[in-house]
Amino acid sequence: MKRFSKRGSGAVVVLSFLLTFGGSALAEKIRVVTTVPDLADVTRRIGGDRVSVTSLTRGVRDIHAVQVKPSMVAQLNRADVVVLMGLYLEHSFLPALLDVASNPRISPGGIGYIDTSRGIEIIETPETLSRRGGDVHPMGNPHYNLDPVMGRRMARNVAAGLSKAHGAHRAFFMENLDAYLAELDRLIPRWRAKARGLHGVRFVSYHKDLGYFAKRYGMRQFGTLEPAPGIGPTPAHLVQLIQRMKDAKVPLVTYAAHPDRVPKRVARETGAALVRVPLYVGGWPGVDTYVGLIDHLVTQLSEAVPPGGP
Amino acid sequence: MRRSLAMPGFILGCVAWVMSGAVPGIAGADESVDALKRQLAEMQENMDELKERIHRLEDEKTEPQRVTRLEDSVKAIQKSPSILNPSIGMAIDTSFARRGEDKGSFHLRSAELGIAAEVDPYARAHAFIVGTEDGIELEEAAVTTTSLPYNLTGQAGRFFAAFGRLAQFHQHELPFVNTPLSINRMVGGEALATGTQWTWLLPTPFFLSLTGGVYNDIGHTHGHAEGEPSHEDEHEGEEGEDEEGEGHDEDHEGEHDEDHDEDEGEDHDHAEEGHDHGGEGGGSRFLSELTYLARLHTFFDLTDTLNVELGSSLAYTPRMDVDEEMTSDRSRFGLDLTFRHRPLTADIYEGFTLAGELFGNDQRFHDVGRKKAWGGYAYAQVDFNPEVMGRWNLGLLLDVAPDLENPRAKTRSLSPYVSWWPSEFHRLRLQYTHGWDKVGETPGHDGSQIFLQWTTALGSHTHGFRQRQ
Repeated sequence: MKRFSKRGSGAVVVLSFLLTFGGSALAEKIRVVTTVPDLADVTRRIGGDRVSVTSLTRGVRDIHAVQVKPSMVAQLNRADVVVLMGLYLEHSFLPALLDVASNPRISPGGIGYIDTSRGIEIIETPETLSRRGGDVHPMGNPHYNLDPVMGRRMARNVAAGLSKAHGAHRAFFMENLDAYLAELDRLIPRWRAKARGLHGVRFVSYHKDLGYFAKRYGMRQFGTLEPAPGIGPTPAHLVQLIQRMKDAKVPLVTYAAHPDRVPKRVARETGAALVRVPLYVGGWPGVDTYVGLIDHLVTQLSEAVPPGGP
Repeated sequence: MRRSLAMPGFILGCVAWVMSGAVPGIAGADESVDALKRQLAEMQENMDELKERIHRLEDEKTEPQRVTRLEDSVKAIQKSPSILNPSIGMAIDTSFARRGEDKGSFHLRSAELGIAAEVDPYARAHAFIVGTEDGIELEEAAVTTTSLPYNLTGQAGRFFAAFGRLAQFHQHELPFVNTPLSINRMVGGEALATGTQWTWLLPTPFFLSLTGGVYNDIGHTHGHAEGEPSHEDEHEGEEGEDEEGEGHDEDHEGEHDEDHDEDEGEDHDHAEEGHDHGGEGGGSRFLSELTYLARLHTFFDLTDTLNVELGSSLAYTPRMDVDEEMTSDRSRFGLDLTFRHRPLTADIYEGFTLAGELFGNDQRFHDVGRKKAWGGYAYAQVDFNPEVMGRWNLGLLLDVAPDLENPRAKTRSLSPYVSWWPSEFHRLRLQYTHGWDKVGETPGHDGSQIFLQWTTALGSHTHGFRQRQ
């Protein structure tokens, strides 16, 4: 027994050494973990072949209900950098994961903690903080990734964060950032022209997640299927909403990673067009880049609005 | 002159335009409408160009706005030093229990105040203070390291020992109303312990952690749980005696497991000294009387939607007193397995969980000698989101809890339950439990019981990674 424990502990020490130091020697790229696929795409564009990027989520499910998985802990433990949207978007999973990831480098305030909400012009900041208003985001609407102009800010923040954490690659990151911003700058006016028909269009969304997109293209939020953020639709709320939509002739209902029965019912009863929108890269088949996401949203919503405007 | 002609022309145009709507076919009306449409389109384009310029200006002014925001934040912090206070939350857990013979009672199971904050760059600390109908108790108070090298995390104070899975859950966080009787009997209820434990997250591509700990003891059955029929002292209620206060701070299971004679009175002092659960700071004891724990815990994503979590735990106490002359070692084993399915697309069906734990206990008892006992529980739960009226869980719990002294005698129970979540912070639950009790010491475990539970969370109430569902 004694002999076994000696040999066993020796094996454990050797294995640990190999796993710890062998692993880090093999890892040449900067290991980046992002919370959403949008940030993964932007980080790949800026980090190029000097980063290896994984996203904790796939962009398909509601980000407010992400399953906290130990496999995410393993990813975060090995990460050099974590990139997040911030504004409490990831509050349901990221703080709990960082608590156990044993990686002070990517803890809030750490050099590898990149919050891309810095400098974002935040909308819908709650006037009062109370759960009477549902599961409110205390710092305001966190879905700024849907505004391509804010996307530029996101990209700048990623580049600045990577440069701060890995200064040796700064010039490379900045060069890639310039190229990416130039691409966005070419596309933003095109998207604006394409989305001209959306200006003034009133819409109802399931959750209040299209705020930044709507603001950029002049759409007007008429209401939400949820009576309050994070609170499922109630019959009384729906009856009232449907009547109001009929009176105001609201032409559009959107939903994202939500079940479709209620949106279908509301659209059917009001005669509004119904559109399922992706909120993140990966939220729609074929939408696998940030540029692709915005392009898809602009095209999809413009085509859904009846010709001749609202 | 041109102006004087233009005005009547414009008026005529308008008249023609108006009449064109009312009297189709009036000559020239269509052309006027087209002209107006063209003008409107041009105006629209001009407006878009202006908006484009405004947007550009807005983009340019973002940086100064950020500076202004930061300045505002600094001012707000200066005005409000309480911003650095710990986050505070509370969970309130109430229930109504109806058991056979038309007996029933309301319980304030717990009002749990949670406080947590970072201490400094090296540690964070948390405390949970639980109030029940029987009094107030400091349930957890511990400091945890945050920046040790080599993936090490250390913890000291009073906290949940890493034994099993659901034994590490606060009772109000369980998927069902009560802690399974198998956990109460074999672990000692919630795996609370005073001591220290250290976790090493192995640098493997998958999640693998190894925990070692040393504590005064593991296990605790709270006063707030004791009012429930699934716990050992519920027979007090059955007997019509309201004696919960007498034993509210003692681990009834611990008494049963470790000092089954102490009810007779003569060993009571010894129990206080040797099996204190840390609440009073603990009496001195030999190192051989401490409990030592090891746990290995892993997790695999089988597919994008299916994952499995596996853990094994061993708690070993080298020496515990059986009676005045006899001592025994005690080993507790645990094997926990959890399958979860979470679909990628949102629909009524939101997920499925199949989980269970197998426990073993090995120790010597007075008169009956050394006994090994095995027990455990398993449950299956389906999560629904019918969109309207919140989220729902539907589940079935099967529990088998042996008598540690007479392992052939077992208490079995089957509990279907349904939970309704009007919001993330608010839950109502209905559970039916039917028990078949061969142990016989606790009449409340035989027959039917019905529970209604109402649980709410206030503030920043969270138990973090350990108690994820």
